Amino acid sequence: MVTKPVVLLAFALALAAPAAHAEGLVSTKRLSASLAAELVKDAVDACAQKNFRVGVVVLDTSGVQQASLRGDGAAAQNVLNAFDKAYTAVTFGTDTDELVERSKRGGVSSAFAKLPHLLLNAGGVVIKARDEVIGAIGVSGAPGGANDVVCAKTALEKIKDRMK
Amino acid sequence: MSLKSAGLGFALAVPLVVMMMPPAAAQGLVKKSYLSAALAWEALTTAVEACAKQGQQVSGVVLDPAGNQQAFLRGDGAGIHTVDTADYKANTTLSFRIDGIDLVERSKTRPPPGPIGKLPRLLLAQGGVLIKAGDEIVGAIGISGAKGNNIDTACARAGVEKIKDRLK
Repeated sequence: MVTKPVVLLAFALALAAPAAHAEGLVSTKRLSASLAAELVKDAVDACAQKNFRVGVVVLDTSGVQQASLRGDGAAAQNVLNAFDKAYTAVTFGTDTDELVERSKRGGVSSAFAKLPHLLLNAGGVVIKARDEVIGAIGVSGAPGGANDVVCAKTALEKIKDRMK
Repeated sequence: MSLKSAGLGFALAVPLVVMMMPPAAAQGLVKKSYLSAALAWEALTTAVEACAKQGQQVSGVVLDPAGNQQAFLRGDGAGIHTVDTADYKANTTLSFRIDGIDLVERSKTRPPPGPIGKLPRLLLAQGGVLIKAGDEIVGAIGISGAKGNNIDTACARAGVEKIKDRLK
């Protein structure tokens, strides 16, 4: 009788654990180079069609760059900003526009701002395979972060069925 | 006699210096060209794929003439250091205006001055290749990660070759 809640708790914890929960090795995923390449190209093109000149970066979950492209007329710092947006999204496992909202409610410690490569600006979007975060895409250079997000999501939509 | 020859030497030197100046030597503005995003991307993906087809896992980068990144791709399985070394190779090639493979060769008899080695983003290695439109340097491509002699360079050159007729 006493053990019942413990068993239930253990069961609940097991459900809450990440899919890759393992005793020994942990397996993670990242985009293949060809999907990462397609993603940055599509995001730059999606923005270029609206005359938004952007830099785009795709990072894996380790925060290491997989692919990047600077669109015609985009500035060098757009690529740097795109990196930081992607880095912020991947490290929090959350889109940066959501993080901006969360920080308004005091949900993000200001201490984070002192860490390198963290940038609380819309335009960093996590890449998910089912529920697992496998990377992030950052877009920078469109007028307003919301426009950056649209280009990122347009490109993600094109590859989403092949993320398996 | 010595004065006269010095004068002659000077007279000869002036046109020589003028001839050695870059073609874009201008009074007012200096014009520089760089690759469109489409061409930069095509050269880069061609180069990385050329290596991947041989089972070589590499990263590649295209830099504009100012040394800023235009395009980057890490191939499947390429080591994380290749992200940096590809950049260093392309930057070194741009900075010295010579392909890395030739710079390595030249350095055997004419090593660059020691202090230069302390500058960031310089790497004396093959794998960086200039992209030229006529005589003008319009960028550089750097490939890193291949195992074996000068394979990085061959892949980089395959990328440049693919776009070379459209550099205008």
